Amino acid sequence: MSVESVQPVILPRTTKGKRPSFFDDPAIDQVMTFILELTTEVAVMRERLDTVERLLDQHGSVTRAALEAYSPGPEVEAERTAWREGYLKRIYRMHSPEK
Amino acid sequence: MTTQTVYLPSREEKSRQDFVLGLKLLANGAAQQRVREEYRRAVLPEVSRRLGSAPATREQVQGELARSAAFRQWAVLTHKSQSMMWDAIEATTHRVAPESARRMARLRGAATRRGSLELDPSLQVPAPIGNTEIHRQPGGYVGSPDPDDVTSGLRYIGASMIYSVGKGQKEAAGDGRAHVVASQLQARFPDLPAPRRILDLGCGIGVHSQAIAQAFPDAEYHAVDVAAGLLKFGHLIAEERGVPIHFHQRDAAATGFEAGSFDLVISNILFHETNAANLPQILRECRRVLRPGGAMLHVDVATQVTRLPLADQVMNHWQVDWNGEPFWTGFSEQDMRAQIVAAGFDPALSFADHLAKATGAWYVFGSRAN
Ligand SMILES: C[S@@+](CC[C@H](N)C(=O)[O-])C[C@H]1O[C@@H](n2cnc3c(N)ncnc32)[C@H](O)[C@@H]1O
Repeated sequence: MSVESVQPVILPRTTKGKRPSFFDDPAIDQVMTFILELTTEVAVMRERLDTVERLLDQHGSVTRAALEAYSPGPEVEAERTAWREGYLKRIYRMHSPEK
Repeated sequence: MTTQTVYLPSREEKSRQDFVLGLKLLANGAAQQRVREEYRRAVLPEVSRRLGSAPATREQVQGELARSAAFRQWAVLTHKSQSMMWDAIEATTHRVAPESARRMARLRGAATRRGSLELDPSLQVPAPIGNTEIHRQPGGYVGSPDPDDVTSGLRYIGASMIYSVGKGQKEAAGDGRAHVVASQLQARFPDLPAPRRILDLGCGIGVHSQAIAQAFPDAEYHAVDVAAGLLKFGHLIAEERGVPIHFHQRDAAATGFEAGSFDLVISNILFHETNAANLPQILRECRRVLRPGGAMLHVDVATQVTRLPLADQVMNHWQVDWNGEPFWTGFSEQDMRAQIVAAGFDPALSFADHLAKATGAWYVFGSRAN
């Protein structure tokens, strides 16, 4: 067997440890990271709020258990997908100053 | 059909994972498209002027392309969405890990298993699996020596449910994962008699293995991988679904099975995660274990440099440095038909073709033993 194929098991790198910078100024990477994280949390919260509103419409009350048990039908799923796609498009326009 | 009931994201986890998928689709879609446009608009004319002719290799263009704002944005989006994907998966993994360990412990004590799991703690795990966190999966595929710890398998299926869909492959965490192998088996070997023994190399968590095993219910199904963490989880979900599969922690290059003992050898996206020395050894091992008339079929990623434009080659090569895919470019430069012939297969029976499907492009290669 070749030297290359008998290396022992070591996992030197960890996913969390390495923070590359793709722009010359790392501040740009940081700002993009910040925006992506924030954007994601807004989307997650918006979906949760949407569920709360739908449950309130239907039952007049809402519990955490009901939130977790809620299963969106195909219509709600389609509505949410359409919103998500539009939202992502807007974010990406912001990432591209030339357009 | 649901292939497992272990890794089930909660509503909120699912919501976050769905959105991260959206970011990945953006990276692989619009952001990549913008890099290609930037290449045509600015990089290609500039490099052509400097060289006095059109560039012919990735190396000639990658420096310039990598300095463009479009490329850097794509890189941050791709890298960051991958980190966010693992963070989102970690939430579910962490939550379901104790229950999975309990189920694994119960299974190990059960007398009713239809398949089996054979681990070899002394196996030298080859590179890159042994020394790289593939796709930057936290902790890699190998996992801990704890027999009940299946977390690397949980992360793997979590990523299959997100990552592969991000590359446009639907149903990638269910039976759909076997679709290309299954349909190509039909198309390539229509006269193959029902196999009695099947060998599946680099089976991972064996999701596609389940579907193939069910398509040949009379065959004895052996699945091999070097990563114990994935095999343990594969065994758990196969048993819970009642599909008899024999999992073995062995190197596909030296399986230890008797010569001429298999009717069919398959793999699904194995080779791009091997290495240059391992790859030809695996093909020779396929030749060795096949009986005369037996068939070999492999499906892998369609990143062959002979068919990719230079801008795409640059983006692919970036995976080597930044997405835990050390052999991604090395595999892209292989002529798999030549490798198969070099491994002792008949050139007249050997093939390596690109397949374009609605669900993505694939590199399909194989042969028949005579
Ligand atoms: C991308 S995964 C594919 C897993 C599975 N076939 C699927 O479709 O999900 C590649 C697998 O090949 C395994 N692998 C890499 N080199 C190997 C080798 N030399 N022998 C056996 N398995 C290997 C890895 O551990 C990993 O599970």
